[in-house]
Amino acid sequence: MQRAATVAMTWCAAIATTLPAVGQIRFEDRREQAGVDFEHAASRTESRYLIETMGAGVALFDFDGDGLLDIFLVNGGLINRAAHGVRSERDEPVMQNRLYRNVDGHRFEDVTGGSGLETAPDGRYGMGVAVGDFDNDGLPDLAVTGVGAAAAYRNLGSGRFEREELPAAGWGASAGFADFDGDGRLELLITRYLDWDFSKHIECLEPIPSYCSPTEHDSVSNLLLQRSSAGTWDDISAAAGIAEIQGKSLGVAFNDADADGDIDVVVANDSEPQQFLVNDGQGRFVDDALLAGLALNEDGGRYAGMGVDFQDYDNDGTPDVVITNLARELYALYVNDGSGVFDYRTRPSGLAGITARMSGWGMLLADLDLDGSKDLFVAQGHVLDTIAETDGALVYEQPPLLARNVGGRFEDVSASAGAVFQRDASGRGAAFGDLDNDGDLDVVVNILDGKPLALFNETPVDGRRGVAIRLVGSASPRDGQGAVVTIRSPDGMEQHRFATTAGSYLSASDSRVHFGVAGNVLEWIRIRWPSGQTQELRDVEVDDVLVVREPSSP
Amino acid sequence: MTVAAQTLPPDLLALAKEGLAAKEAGRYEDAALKLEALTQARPGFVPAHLNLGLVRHEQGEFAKAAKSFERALELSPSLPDVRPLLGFDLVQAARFADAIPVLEQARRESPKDLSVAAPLGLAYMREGRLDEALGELQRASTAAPDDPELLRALSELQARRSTLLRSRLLANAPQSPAALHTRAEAAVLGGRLGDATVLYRQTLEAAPSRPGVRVPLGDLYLEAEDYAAAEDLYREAARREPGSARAQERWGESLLLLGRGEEAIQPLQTALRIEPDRLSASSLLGKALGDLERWAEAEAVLQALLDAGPDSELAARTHYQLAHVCRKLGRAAAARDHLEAYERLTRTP
Repeated sequence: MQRAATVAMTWCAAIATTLPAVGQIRFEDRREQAGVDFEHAASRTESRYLIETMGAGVALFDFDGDGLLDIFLVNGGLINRAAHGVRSERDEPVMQNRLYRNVDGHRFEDVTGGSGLETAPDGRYGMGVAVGDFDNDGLPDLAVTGVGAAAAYRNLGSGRFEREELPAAGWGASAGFADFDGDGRLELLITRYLDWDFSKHIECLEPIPSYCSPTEHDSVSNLLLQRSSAGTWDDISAAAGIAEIQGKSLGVAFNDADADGDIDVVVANDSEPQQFLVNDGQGRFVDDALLAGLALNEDGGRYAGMGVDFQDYDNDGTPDVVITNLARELYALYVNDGSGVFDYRTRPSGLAGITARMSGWGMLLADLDLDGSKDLFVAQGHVLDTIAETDGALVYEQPPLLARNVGGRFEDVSASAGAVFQRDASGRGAAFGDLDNDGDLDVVVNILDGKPLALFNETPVDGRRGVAIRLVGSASPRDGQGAVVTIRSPDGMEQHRFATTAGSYLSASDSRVHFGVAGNVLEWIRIRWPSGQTQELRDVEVDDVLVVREPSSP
Repeated sequence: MTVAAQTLPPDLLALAKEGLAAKEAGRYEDAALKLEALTQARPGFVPAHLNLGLVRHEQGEFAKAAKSFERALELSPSLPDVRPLLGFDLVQAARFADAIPVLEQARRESPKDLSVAAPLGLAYMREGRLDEALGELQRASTAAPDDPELLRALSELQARRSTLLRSRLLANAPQSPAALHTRAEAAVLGGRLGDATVLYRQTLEAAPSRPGVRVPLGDLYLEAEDYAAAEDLYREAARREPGSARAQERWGESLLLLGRGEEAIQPLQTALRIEPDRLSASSLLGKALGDLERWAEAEAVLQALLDAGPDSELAARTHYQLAHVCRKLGRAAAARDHLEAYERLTRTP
């Protein structure tokens, strides 16, 4: 790894340049009006198979290229115990995944039938979804993970997807596409949770029947897959150094942590140290988490890492990490000091006081009120449905959390952010994107054993506006994933964002890069493409969506 | 038995000699059989009862031993040195009411004999005469301060006294601050944390200036992860009880959890001034200094903590913290050393 000669800006100094927001963040759940009638099926049993409580993901992507984000929701499946041995089934329509086409930014129609996505993957109990244009044809493709199998789905256009087999056995969880080796094509990283199938299920009955701790099962390694030009997928985990790194992985997020031009990886692990996979520029990784200060909490303790995001929360130009976990563990915030060291800033950022009783899954660091600072949204709910019986201070279902970033300190604004933040639920996967193209970020949450939340952002903008930058790569991957985008507004504020659909938990977000800005003109936009090219656009008039194409030659 | 044995016919004399020989040789079953036969043949023969009592005592058959000693004393009330043994055996046989007059008389006969104090104290305790029991057991402990049985008896006695005093408190003044405080502590011990919170709150409402309430109440809020409520209580406790290192440390800890590291430093330093060996406060102070990026000071505090020899859990945590501090100070090799020490201490065997 090449350590970048980054200016060592201190955490305190960097956050002082952000501006306070003036509006109050508000979201409204319009799932019913939007016509999203999906319902997740966990198929809970008295045996309490671990898969029943882990939930599923959601993707926001424009599959039909009409400029509107569509919704793909992953379903669990039927756990059939009457057959020969226990297995999951997806034949019934209510057990299938769903694709909803965005009609006009407000209404959605179910277009699953005939799309080829119904039973992905392979009838197995469904988990996560990733989005990336892996064949560089301009259409976003999918990968869907499940317990025992995963599959890729190439977008053929016209609402149809063609299945491609993935060499991905085991319990697949989150996944993400990125060009790790700099060849202009996307690879697929799939996290695997632990060594479990129905035959390895353990009944945990003490002190009361409950889902077993992941510590009862062995760790596994994650998978890195590469697509050949012939359309087959190869497992390159061993060559990439991924196969030798064991964990109990759930969330995954990407960014260039050390500004050396390649893509590094943070993996959230449940009850095992978190992983920080540093790329040597050739797509080979070493886990540097312990030395970098990312593996554990400030006391050297492990926790149940679940969701993760890897973005620059304090606008100092270096990406930071937030990992959600279980109640009493405190969501972890690691602030990148630019020298390869991450500071655990959960307490000083105010996250400790906000999240001590929370259990978080899908999440995002993003500017939800368009004030230039990245706020925090978390889908929540404890993993154990019996938690209240063993810990009187905790509850199973919880509303989502909305924490506003005020000068680097998070303030819980959930109470004033809308009725949905008062409603208990078992939130799991969460994806983010501008569903109605009004400039701000909306959220869709896949609820365990329930109907999803379709949260439209209704925050008063007070003269600020959002801009979504759609990247079109040439030497870089076509969908621009892996680019680092920096903008500077006339007030001198600089913001940074890494282009990725990965992050959160089991989910894939809008591939466009979102910023909140004041005024109608940006002093400049700088893009460092994955190919290594840098591009600068000056005096850019702000529009809701800006399309930026990578120059065809440097 | 020599003098008295002269009055026995030859066959019984032989039986007595055989019994005594068996006793001397430690063959207690045989001795008991022979001495038992002797007492049946000559029920008024005191030495037979006395020696049978001694054999039964050695066998641990305290109830039977007591009966033999009682019979011996009936026949010869002025027998010396028997009452302490009888008293002991009566206590062992759970005949506490019978033991008390025997041991009291033994005390009168030999006021300096401390061996009577322990069984008498136990007998008093079992009969509910707790104040007298305390006097006797304390007296016994002057001779054997580390005797395990005595320590156990004293511990049980204190618990009984505590229960009795608490019952009296709750019966006489159930709504008094002292009673509410006591009930709150009992609720904590019983794991009824919700009840404990309410009772501590009621205690403070009844007596806002009462010491020793805010810190345990704050602990309950901290346990429930309500840091703001805990901080309120700890702050007020630290103000009202400035000599309490625990109050100062807890206040500092709650401030840290609220992300107010700069404010946490002063109470943590105060806690360490009051109790320089309070390692938990040192650990928290190290964190607070780290929050403020005062890495060199953090290192000094944490290194001093390590030098003080903490338990392995705190040592592991401190090594991990120090690894980070050293990284921030640009000392990668030292950071690695601390990480290795952390890994050694946390490795599962």
